[in-house]
Amino acid sequence: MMRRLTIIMAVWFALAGSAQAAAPLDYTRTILQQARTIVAGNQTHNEKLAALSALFGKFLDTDAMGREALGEHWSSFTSAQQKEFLDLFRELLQRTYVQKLLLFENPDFVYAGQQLTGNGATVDTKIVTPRDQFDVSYRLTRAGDNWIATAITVEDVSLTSNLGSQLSDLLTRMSVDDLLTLMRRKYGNPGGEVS
Amino acid sequence: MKTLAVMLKDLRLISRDHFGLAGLLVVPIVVIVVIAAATQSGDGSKGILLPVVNEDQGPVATALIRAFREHLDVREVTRSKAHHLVAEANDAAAALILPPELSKRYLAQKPSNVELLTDPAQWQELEAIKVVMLLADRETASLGDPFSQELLAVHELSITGDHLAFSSLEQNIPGFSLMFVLLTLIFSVSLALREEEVWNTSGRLWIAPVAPASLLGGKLLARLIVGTAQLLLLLIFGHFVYGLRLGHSPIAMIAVAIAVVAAMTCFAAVVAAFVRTREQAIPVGLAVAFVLASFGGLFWPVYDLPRSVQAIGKVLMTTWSMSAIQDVMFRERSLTGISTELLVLGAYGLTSFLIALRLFRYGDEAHS
Repeated sequence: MMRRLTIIMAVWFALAGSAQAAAPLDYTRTILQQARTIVAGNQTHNEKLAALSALFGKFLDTDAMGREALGEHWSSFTSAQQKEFLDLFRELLQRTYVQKLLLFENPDFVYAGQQLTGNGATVDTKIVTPRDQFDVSYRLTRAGDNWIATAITVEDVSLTSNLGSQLSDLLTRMSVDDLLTLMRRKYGNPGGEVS
Repeated sequence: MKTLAVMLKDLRLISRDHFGLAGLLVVPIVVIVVIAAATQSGDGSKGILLPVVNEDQGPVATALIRAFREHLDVREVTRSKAHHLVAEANDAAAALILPPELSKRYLAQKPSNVELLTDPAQWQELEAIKVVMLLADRETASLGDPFSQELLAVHELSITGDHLAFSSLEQNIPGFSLMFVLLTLIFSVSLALREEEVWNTSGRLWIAPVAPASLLGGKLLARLIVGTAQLLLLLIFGHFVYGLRLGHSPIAMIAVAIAVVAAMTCFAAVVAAFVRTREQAIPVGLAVAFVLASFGGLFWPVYDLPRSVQAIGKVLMTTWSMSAIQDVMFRERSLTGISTELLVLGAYGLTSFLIALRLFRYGDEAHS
């Protein structure tokens, strides 16, 4: 009897948990609508940058993206270098993505759909302007009750892959320390302006 | 004691010429005030026109244009209008073509070619535009180009001539040559005509069976020949000593020199009609020459002046003269390519000649 009750309770909690978690598309919509409000607001460019960075800080899994971007080079970093790289990469990715979003004065998001895949999902969106539209896809992974983006694709080009190829190119020309110095110079001032 | 008496007598003579005395101070002050206002309140690079052909209409093009507007007078135009502003009207030193799909490519981190149609003859404005483009590119690059890849490659295309590089000599040699020719003509025409009155040559000429137009025309024609030779020799000096380019068409260069000097000679006759003494000729001549030279872009590029002064400059003979010379030298235009300037300078000369003929009191003394 106790065993049956335990199973029922476990299933109930699992169902209750999944019912509480928002659908990936809805969660993405919530984040992007907040982003839209910030972009369309009256704040200064730097204030918008800071607000968007804070918003996307909880939406983007920059550690996963950083490891993916480094690819085979990841193992050549010491653990201290890996930690510093991930800190700087978080700043780099947030700013790169957020700055791109800020190029749109009043972005209009359209949600094309979602595909659920196991513990993950892909949400397809479009940024619509009066003359054009830009495809942006998010690959999401469940993180507790919410979702977290592990990859972003803009116009069929993966942001992570693109940054990965740039990093790979730089690592053929400079040492890991030099790369970290370069990143520190550009992104070592969290919340500051991009130099 | 005798020296003192001579001095007092000369001072009395000088003091009778009120216009000349006033001219000693008033005219230089006017010139100083005008040139100071013209050069100090300039709009800097904001006065430089940059036509932009926005074929992208996307967020990156908008961000770029916004960045350019911080430093330049940006005007969104069609491709044909941009071509006209750079190659035909020469109102702009360069036009930027932002291609279709620029934003899509930029956001996907793919490089794009941005075309810059240039008029290298306006090299100073062009240099300023390139500096601003570099700044704007850096600003925009920081928006989505984390490792400063060259996502925007600028392809420069001269649409007015073969040469891409110019130096300050190309501004200064023609500019100062024109200024000295103008100065020489104003002084020589006005002083020569006054001296003829002093020697009573004018009285004798007046009773000769020659029409006033022929008389004045003949005298100005002599100055025209001397002035044309002076201008051409100064430019040839610049060519051999400093490597100044003279263009591909000697006929066009000679035609421009004749038209420029003809306009200046007839204008000098109008100035001569206003001055009554040698003392008046010097300050008035200097004032006229310096104001025309500074407003007409002979000393410095026109874009460095405030817009109001630029607007005045558009109707000045010196502006058209400088433009015609630059068209032949640096834009390598033929005779037909400079027909507008030749017509304007011709009209300037003819109008000035008619005004001079009407105003000039040649032979007044013989009359009275």
